[in-house]
Amino acid sequence: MKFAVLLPCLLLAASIGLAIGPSQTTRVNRVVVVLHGPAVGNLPQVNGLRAGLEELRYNEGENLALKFVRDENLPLMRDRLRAELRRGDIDLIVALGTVETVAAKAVAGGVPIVFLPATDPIHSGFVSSLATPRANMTGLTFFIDSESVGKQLAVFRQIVPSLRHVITLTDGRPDGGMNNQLRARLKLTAGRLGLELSEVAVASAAAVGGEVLSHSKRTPGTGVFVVCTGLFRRLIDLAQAAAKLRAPLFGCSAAQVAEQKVLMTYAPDLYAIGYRGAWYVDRILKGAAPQTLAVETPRKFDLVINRKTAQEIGLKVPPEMLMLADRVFD
Amino acid sequence: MLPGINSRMPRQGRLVRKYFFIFATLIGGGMITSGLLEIYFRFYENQEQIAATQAEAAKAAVSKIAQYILEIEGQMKTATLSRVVAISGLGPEYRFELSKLLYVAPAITEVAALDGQGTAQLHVSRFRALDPTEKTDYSKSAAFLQTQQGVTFFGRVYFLRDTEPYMSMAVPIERFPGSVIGVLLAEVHLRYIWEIVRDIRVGKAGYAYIVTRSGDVIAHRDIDLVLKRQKADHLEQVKAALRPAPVIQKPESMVTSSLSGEKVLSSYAFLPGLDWAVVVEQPLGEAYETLYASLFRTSTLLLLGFGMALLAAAYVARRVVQPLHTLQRGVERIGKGDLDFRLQIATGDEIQTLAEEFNQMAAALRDAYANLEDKVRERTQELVIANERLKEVDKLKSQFLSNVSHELKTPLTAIGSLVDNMIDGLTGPLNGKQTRYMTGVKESTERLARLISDLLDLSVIETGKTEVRPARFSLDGLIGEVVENLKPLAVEKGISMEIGQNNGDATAWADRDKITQVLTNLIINAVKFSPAGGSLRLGMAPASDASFLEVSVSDTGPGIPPTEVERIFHEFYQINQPGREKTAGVGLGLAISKKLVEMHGGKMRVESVPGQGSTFFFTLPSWRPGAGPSLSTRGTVQ
Repeated sequence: MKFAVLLPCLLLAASIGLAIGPSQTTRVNRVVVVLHGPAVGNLPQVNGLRAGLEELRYNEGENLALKFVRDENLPLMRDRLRAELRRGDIDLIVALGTVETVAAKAVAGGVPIVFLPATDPIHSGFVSSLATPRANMTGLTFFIDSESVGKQLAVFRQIVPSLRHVITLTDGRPDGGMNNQLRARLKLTAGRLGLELSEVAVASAAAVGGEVLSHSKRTPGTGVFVVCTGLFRRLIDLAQAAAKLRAPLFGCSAAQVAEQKVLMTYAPDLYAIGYRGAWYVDRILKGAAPQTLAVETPRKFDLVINRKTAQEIGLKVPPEMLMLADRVFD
Repeated sequence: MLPGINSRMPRQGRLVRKYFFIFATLIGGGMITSGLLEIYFRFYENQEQIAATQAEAAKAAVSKIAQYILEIEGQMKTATLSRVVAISGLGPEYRFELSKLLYVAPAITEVAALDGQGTAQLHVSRFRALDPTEKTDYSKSAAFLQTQQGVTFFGRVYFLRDTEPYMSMAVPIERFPGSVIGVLLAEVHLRYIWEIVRDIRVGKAGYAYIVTRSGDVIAHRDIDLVLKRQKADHLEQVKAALRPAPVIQKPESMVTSSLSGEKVLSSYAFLPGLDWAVVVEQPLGEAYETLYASLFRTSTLLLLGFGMALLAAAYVARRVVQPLHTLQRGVERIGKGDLDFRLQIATGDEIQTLAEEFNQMAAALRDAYANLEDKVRERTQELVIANERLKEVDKLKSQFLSNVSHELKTPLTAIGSLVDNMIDGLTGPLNGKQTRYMTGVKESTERLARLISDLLDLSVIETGKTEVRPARFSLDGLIGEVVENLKPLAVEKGISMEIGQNNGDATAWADRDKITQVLTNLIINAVKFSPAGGSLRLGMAPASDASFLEVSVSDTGPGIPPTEVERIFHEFYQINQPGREKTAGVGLGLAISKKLVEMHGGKMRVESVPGQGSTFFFTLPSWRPGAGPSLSTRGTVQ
């Protein structure tokens, strides 16, 4: 008789017990963000990265630990990154620029790197091709190629029709932060536009010497063009000094235009780069190999103008350029 | 085991199982059949519905993409409708219109205004600083030649830097409708379509992608596949989508593998103007999620229903069989004699009727059994009383015999002495006739004395007063001694006596006088019944039980009929056989002898062949070293 009760009970148990799922454990993903510069502050890439990661269900303190390694001194920053990596458990390095990527590449060992962004990653030696990086790093580029710098210079000229002389400000790397292709492209473009060109290499924008400013004082129609390979993050001092000399300043990001009195920029949206970079971080944390993830280039450059700064330096921005501007700060 | 016995063996649960399977088959079978049919039809109906929904999703995706391309085309055409063109043609003033086009159409990265000869008069780029003096010739290009006809041109997809998908588009520039003065040629960055494709959601994990005729994926939720120039022309759904077909294609759905190898439900639609296929895929698990959920629910309910049906079947089977079990147990109890037990079954059906019949039968049996017991008890009581009376009578008889014998023996002894004196002439000489009469008196007196002596012996034995005094003696010697004493009797009748050769030890452990009496009785009987000139043989041998000796006495008398063999040991029994010589005696010798043997633990028996003779056997304990006096010293023989 027992089987007559047992069989239905087994069937009932079988029908009820099908909805139990496997339990999950939360793993904390450890990501180091490398920054060559002062405090992180309100960096658009970082904001975009955080927003993107949050959207991809990464929450700091739960399944994500973001560790920032920064210093204005490049060797010190590299040493700090090396020390951080030695502690172990690092899943990924996010390099917030080209110099950061160079430093990370030197000490990363087997830890994958995502650059957000890097300038011309092929000529910088980071990847072998954009479609298939074939390296332990990938990410987004800032410039599509050297022609982008020429385009920036041309747009600078469109905003400042009175421009005659341009001081190009590059970072302090041995090659001046600007490889030969960029330099050649700038020269070519300047020639087409009838501009004089001079290059000044400094470790940081804050260290721009009196020579630069005196030069602009001596030569009317002088403007300062920051070559965004090093992504100088602090331009406020330079912008204030340039404003006193009524010299227009071309910056690297919309944030600089908005917050640091930089006249204008024509560049990719760094927030969007950071936001998109979260996708790379997610894929790599989930096991994808960096060498299989294609490097993305910016789809669009944003024209951003600070009309107040323009007024301070006595510049009348052509109305058609204001119309074409993506953002205008007053 | 016998079939009859086997059929009565208990078979616990057989009937329950039988009923359970019948009910379970009927109820559960019906449920399962209907459930499976329901699942079958629901599966195919839902599958078709899901496929139709998926196909509609592909159709909607195509519509969105076509709309986006048409939007770009519209923006380009708007740029050609500028008043500047009407006033000054493709002069420098038109450059601003081109810049505006780049502003309003982010997907366009470069735009060039070609004059009627196909030469680029103006060229604006989003990323490049172009040489304003450069006049590129596009007169041989398909874009220029096709657009000159007033038709919008959609070029083939190409990959800039081998990673970014681009496409050329061209629209005619008309000073006024029908007057084409040039061509507006644009390079469209197709990654912008990614945003449209990315936003096409089919369920939770469903996605869309676009494949060109050459098999290149140019838009996919995973932009990485585009940038890596993933080929998809090996996929079945892509082959089907790009298969030459009528202009208006009906969206179709199929179960295939995705680019990642996952099983997906695919549907596709074709964009004829662009020669692109839009494929919509959804992981099969998700596509059929509602279907699976529905099947799961149905299956769960079916299982639950089946389980309940089985429980109900078990319950019903128990309900049906329970009264039968009660009936069976009741009948077993009644069968074992518990006639007061009554079956308590109130099913209101034939089983209850049967139980009532059993109860009536048990009541009748109990009454009959009670009467029988009373009668048996009554008869037993009567027998006990009769037995007591018999014992008393027997005791009285023995006392009577003892008293009578004793009282008779004394005068007989006196008579015998007196007769002997008279025969011996102490009372004077007797003549021949007197002597003959006295001799007759003496013989009668002696016979009467033996009779009384036997009666006394029997009386002593039956009253338990006989005492056995065992002693060690030679049985050979005893036999020889008795034979020697009785030899004159045999000689007188012309009967020869022979003692058989004994090869073993013949030392007995018994009451020598009692055994002498037994042996004497048997020999006298043998002489008595043997005809003149007959023979008599005595033998002795170890009995089958090694602790006994067996003595045999054989004669050549008339033998004993088989029907009389047992009776000859009864008291006062004599064989009454026609032609058989009537002998002296009252029939006590064998009875006494048998009792005396049995008092020693031995047995007496007879083997006889009528007309040839008889052999009487008896056993008596043999002496063994260390054997003590184990025989009872006093007792009766039953």
